Amino acid sequence: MSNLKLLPLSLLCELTFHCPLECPYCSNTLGYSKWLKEELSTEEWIRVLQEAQRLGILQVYFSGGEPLVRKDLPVLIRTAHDLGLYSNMSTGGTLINRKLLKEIKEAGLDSIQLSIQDCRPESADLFSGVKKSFEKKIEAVQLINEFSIPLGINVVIHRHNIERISEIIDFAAALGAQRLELANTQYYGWALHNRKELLPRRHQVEKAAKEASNAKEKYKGKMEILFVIPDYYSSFPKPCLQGWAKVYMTVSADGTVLPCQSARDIRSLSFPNIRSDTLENIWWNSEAFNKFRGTDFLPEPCKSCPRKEIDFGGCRCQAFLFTADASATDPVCIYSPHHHLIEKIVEEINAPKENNKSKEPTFVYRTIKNSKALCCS
Amino acid sequence: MHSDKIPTLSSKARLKFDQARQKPVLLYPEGLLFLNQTAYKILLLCDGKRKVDDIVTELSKEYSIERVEMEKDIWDFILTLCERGFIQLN
Repeated sequence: MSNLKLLPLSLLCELTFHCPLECPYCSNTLGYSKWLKEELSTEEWIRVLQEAQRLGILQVYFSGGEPLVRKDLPVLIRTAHDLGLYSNMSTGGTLINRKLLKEIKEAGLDSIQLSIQDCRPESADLFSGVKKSFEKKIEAVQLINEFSIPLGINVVIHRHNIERISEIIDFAAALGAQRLELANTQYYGWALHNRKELLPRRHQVEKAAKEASNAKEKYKGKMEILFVIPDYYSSFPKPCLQGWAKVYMTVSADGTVLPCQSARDIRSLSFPNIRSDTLENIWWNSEAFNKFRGTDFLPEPCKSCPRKEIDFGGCRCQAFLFTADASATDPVCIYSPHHHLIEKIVEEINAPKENNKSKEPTFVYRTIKNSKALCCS
Repeated sequence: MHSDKIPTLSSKARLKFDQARQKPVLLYPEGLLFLNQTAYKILLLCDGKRKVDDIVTELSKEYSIERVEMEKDIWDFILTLCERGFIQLN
């Protein structure tokens, strides 16, 4: 493999683990509260951006937690812009106000991805764990449109909102989104912890897929719609990040550098930190980044399977979470010797329920208190 | 085809020459496209002033190729990018 092919394309900057929302499907690691006091400084983030640009990175995604919690966000956006990087911000939107938005637009932000939890206020606030958050998001969207900042909307899809998918699509279109990502929950971090409450049933997935496909036609040329079925219901795994350490890297709030934002949960690997190394050295030379590069590490059934060049054996994090071996075939694959583990979960969710008493979901919300309780137990 | 239409690069898309890879690239919110020289030249001309017709004329001169041979390819390219929201056609 030539070095040129391996230059990374994009960098996710998880600027902070602080967030005003408490979504139970947050992709952050359960134990995030451990690192709240170790956030990188402004100077350290500026160095990360400079090193990223030198390494060949073209796009930066500012995320979190909630990136707007960081008071230096405009400075970081301006730094990225001046370095010629395309900058995106993934936000919950509740902290947006006119002054701040003006500031980040002038700093050179290229686009915003705003998450909404649902199209109905009461459900949206139930999922975010915060009252009136929906209302604030809608105000934010109006401001973003007023400032003509390109807007994509992201809705995490799960058992309790998947049946409203058509309504959600129409709602996003009315909000003026150019792109709508109907992101089926991926089961890592908090989402994995809340999986029993979140994983949709098969009939729900099938119906939603049909509705999304119809809506794609309806909104063609106006709003791009992305809907991928949850991987637990597909026969083959997702081509996670187009391969481990191939085009993508994450710097987390405490400076930990990860090939994937969920990789911190692969306990068998130790990850480098930007405080004691350079981004360039980490990308080329660290054990964590080289461990699963390419497809040579893959065991059977991937080794002799032509699909390995399509899906690279799937997701390393999911392989680890199910099998304790991060090099294993993603158990989502029907050929994986561990596929029965996925089947069992899917069967449980789809089993006819006798007891339908509690329809109200019982989530474990992403809060500092819950994080402390979970990671210390 | 309406060759008096004027294509403009949309606000979410940014065109640049990537020094690290020595390749032109189109950047947009969820990803990027590396471009060949011809695609790059077409996009540089999508400046909100030139009509598609003007772009065809300029490029056919530059490459010394008959207009008719280029017109369809240029249109196909512009329409594809239009569909993905990277170009607005007015």
